Amino acid sequence: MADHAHHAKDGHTDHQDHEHSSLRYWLAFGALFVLTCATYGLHKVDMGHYALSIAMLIAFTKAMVVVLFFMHLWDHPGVNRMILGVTMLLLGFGMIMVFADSVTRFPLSAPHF
Amino acid sequence: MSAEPALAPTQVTDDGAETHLQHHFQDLNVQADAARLGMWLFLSTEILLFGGLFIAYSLFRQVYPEGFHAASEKLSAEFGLLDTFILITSSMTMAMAIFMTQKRKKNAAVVLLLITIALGFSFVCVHGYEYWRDIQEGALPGKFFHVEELADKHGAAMFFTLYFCMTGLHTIHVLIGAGILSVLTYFTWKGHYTPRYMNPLENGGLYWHLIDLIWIFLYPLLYLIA
Repeated sequence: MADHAHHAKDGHTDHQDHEHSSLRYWLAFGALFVLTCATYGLHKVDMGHYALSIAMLIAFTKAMVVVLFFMHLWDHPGVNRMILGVTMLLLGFGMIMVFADSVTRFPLSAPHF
Repeated sequence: MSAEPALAPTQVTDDGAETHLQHHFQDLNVQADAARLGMWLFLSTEILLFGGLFIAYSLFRQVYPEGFHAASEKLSAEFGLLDTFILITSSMTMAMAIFMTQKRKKNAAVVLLLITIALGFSFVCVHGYEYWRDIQEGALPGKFFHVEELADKHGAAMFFTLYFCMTGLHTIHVLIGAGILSVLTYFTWKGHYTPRYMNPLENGGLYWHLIDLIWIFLYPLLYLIA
């Protein structure tokens, strides 16, 4: 509410506050284009066990570009960022619990899928 | 920065934005924040929906690394690359459509939205062709899987089950997104959205970007692990 009082005081609306040059979109698009080419190019190189880690690192970087600039989390209030953060935390927790279950079963109780 | 004159949130102007203000909101800013918050909560459920599939993928990939690598070779990394370029370009046109609406350039926004929809259908066409190739080769999910060269690779059938589930669910989202954008294009063309009220357009854009976001992870995990 304090934010809105601030807006009213300044005489600005949210949409106007978030107006900016289209340059940031072009830069984000360029970054996504380059990173996509990098993902494809690097998969041609034999990097052994690091291949997937590097591909996922690039994917996370691309995801951050989309989320921060195209989805405007760079500008929006912290509560929206918190929702995404908590979602990723739950996803990570789900991943950890599933793998913890999978790797700690004794052989006879482990299904062969 | 905007060169336009600043407007107080509750100031009545001739853009008709106030007609969209629901009585239970203090002003358009509060309404816009609430709309975004609601949309992010919905996107959170979407991420968790796909997250379940990503967890299943990770688990089975750990169990059948060789089968997954061999099965991934059946997919065309080049078609996946084309899919990726189509989606990141559509994300760009979507973001620019919202930008043009902020700048009161309605016609440019409509054209950009139409390009976004066209790119969405292009993605579906490319992916449909990929599915057709997979079906021709017998790379089908579950018990329908019958690729002879992968017959001795445990987990290859599971890879294609997950591949069809993940990309199928994603493609359904692309079609739903294209449908939503079609409605938004109509209302943009009719001049419903202005710099002070464009919540549906913004939220439609968020949904479209999420589709791009999911694909960013699907591409390396399915196409590039060979």
